[in-house]
Amino acid sequence: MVRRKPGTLLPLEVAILDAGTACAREGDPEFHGFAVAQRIQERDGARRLTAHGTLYKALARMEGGGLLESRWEDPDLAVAEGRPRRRLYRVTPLGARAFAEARAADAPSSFRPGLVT
Amino acid sequence: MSAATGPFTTWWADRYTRGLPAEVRDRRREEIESDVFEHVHLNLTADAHRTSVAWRTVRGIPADVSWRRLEKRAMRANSPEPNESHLRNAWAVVTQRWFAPVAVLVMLFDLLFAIAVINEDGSNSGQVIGPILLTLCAVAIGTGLWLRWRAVRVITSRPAPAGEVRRAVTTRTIAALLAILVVTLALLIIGVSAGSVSVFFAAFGLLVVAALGFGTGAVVRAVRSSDLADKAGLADGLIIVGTFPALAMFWMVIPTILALIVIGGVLGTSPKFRPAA
Repeated sequence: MVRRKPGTLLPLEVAILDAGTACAREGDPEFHGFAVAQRIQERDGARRLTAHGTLYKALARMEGGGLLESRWEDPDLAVAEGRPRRRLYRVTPLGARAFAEARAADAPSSFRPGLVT
Repeated sequence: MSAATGPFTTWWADRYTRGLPAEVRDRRREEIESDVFEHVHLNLTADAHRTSVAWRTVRGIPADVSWRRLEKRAMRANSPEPNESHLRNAWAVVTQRWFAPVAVLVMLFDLLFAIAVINEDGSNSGQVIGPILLTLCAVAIGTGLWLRWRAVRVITSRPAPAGEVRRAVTTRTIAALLAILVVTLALLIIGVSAGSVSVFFAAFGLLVVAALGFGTGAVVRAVRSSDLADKAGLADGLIIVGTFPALAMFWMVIPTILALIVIGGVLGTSPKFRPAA
């Protein structure tokens, strides 16, 4: 498990915020777990998707820390599309600021999702 | 979770979220279900889906375990129940398990009895079934002691509702068990002294019916319920059933006395909830 320095973001957290802000730039600020896993995989050219446990633990931790907020999507929409409902996340202003600071401080460039368990 | 989630992923998500607050548990399970649904609807072959999903689950196990530990810690911290000291819990466990060494002796008796039956001269069906049943009785005692040890530790730290001391096993159950034991012993004594095989078998039949009735109910309750009081009831039932061979051998006196001590200990020391403050 990666130990963090106080006040810093883990590489996976930076990647999630990166994916979340990219979604917002594209016009849809909300994203679900699998979508962010896919974006991280594409961004880093990784062979594998981030593990379930790693991803959802990070999402929960970030939400607890105020970097993300989340809600369940409208169940009717999920039913209409014939799939389970999604938990939708959104980067908060605090998360956006933390991401900007991490970028400014040149967050580790050798990020690989598999490193964080 | 739906079958599309994959049996391993479903099984694992159920395991590591078990016992957590319903809101936390359901949220994680639903998120995993949704994630896997999206995953399997990618344009991959069925085998690739299964392997990929399972491997994603396996790689996340350490994080899942760590997340569960954090959630449990938060759950305890938010609990209105006061945390009991380790010393007080240990004392409660010891005073409610004084009969455990005697139960171990009865368990050994069951095993030695099984060996004796195997080594008996002659060949009949009893030499096959007998040792199996006796071994199962020994296993029942061992399992019961283990379950009781776990249940007592938790139950004694939990306050009884409405300020009353609640028993993990109801008085009615205890009374029913005692009645069955008295009738069985009486039938055994009558059967042996009168040389009546039918009465002797009636006594055993009663034991079997009682064991099945009590045991099945306790097992079903324990499996369905997340309440540790039900697990304690199952533990008590297993220990009592395990003493039946020693009770049946009443002419050997000592095993029967030991069995009665164990039954008395089990019934007299059912895990009690701490009186509410």
